[in-house]
Amino acid sequence: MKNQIIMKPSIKPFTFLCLLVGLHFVGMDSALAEEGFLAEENTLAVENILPEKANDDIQQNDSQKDEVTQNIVLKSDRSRMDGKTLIFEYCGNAILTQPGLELTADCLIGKKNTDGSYESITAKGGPAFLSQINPEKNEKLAVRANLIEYKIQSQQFLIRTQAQLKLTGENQDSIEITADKIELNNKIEAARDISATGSPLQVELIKSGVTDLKAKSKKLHFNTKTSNLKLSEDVIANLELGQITAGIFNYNNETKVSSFDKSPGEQVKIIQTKKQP
Amino acid sequence: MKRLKLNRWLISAIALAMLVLVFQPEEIQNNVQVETQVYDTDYFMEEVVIFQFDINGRQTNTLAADRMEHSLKKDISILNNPLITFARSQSGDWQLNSNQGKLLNNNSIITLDNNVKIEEHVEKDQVQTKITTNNMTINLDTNIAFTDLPVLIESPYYQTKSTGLEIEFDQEVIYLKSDVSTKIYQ
Repeated sequence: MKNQIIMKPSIKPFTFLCLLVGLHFVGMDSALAEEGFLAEENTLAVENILPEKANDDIQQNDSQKDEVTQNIVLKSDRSRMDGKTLIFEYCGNAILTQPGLELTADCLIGKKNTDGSYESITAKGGPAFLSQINPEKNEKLAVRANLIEYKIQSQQFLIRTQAQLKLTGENQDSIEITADKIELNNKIEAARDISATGSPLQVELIKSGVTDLKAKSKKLHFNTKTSNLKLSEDVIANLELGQITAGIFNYNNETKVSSFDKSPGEQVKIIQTKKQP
Repeated sequence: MKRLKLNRWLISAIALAMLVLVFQPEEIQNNVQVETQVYDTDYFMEEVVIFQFDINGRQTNTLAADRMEHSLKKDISILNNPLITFARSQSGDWQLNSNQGKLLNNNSIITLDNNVKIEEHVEKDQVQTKITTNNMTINLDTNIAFTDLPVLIESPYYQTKSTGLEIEFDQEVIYLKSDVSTKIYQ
């Protein structure tokens, strides 16, 4: 009984002392934090500048929202926004992403509309790359050029200067175009419209991994839905039939039906090379 | 028993010493606050508005604050809820405000601290672009504002985040210094 009475006063001050020591360190931490000596405080300061709405947008629903709304994300090392000309520049490892689409370049330059909305974005620099992947259809679009202009509303791409486009679909079917200027209407992925001009303009159609057509011309039009290819002006087409020189050359990649027309003042030439038995 | 009593007094003395130590950091902290907020104020003004004009007599900017305390010796004015307005070349203006601010260097430099907001007004009370950060320095002679801290820019059409920003109000040009990321709403 005596022992119990003796123990009490020795335990209480010790507990009180521990409590005080604990409080002391808590006090020190908060004092240091308020003076900005703790690294954590800086991190918090960074996060705190974002309004609640922005944090919600960025952290919670970002990926889902982007998938649905096709939001565009631009990233770069630095940027310049001109309020008078409404031109903005994103330079240094610039990258534009949209669900399934990626555009990279030295600089992404664009113009805003007067109401603040975005009109078009141009990828400049040596060279710019565009890729679009549709995993469901196993389809891949790859573009390389010194200048790629993306018209946001119409989903149109204007590809200029040393332009190369390759569209690969199922069964390794593909179309590859090299031209000065390529216009790609991407609004409906299932029915892409490709127009190209250039001198020289080269096109190669590959079916099931084998070259089906290799041609040169000055103008080209191709629709991915109909598989109709139209080449015009100084066409030299090499296909299984032989080499055809014509003014206009139409070819269907699916049916393999071709038709050609002479250019003014010239005849259509067909050169067949006899195959070795 | 005597030894126990002695221990009790000893522990109490240590506890008292610890009590002093516990309250010491708070006192230092208070001193720091005093250092950064009060500069031997010589005079103060309330509901103050300062207009700045260029050599042609054109009004370039306006500085308003709920309260301004000035120290002649240190040439510093402490501002409560400062609001700076720059006129845009077209209609509307740029408005910069924060919880606190300091006017330095013969009234040519102003720093805004805590909850800095920059709003681009196209028309009266219609905000087109809103920039948020934690600190901003503005040169009132050149009308250039800059910060090295993280920045958030919001508009109905896009949202941009970056680290570091510079705004040339006369040219209406914004430079984002690093780690720029913009989301364009479709």
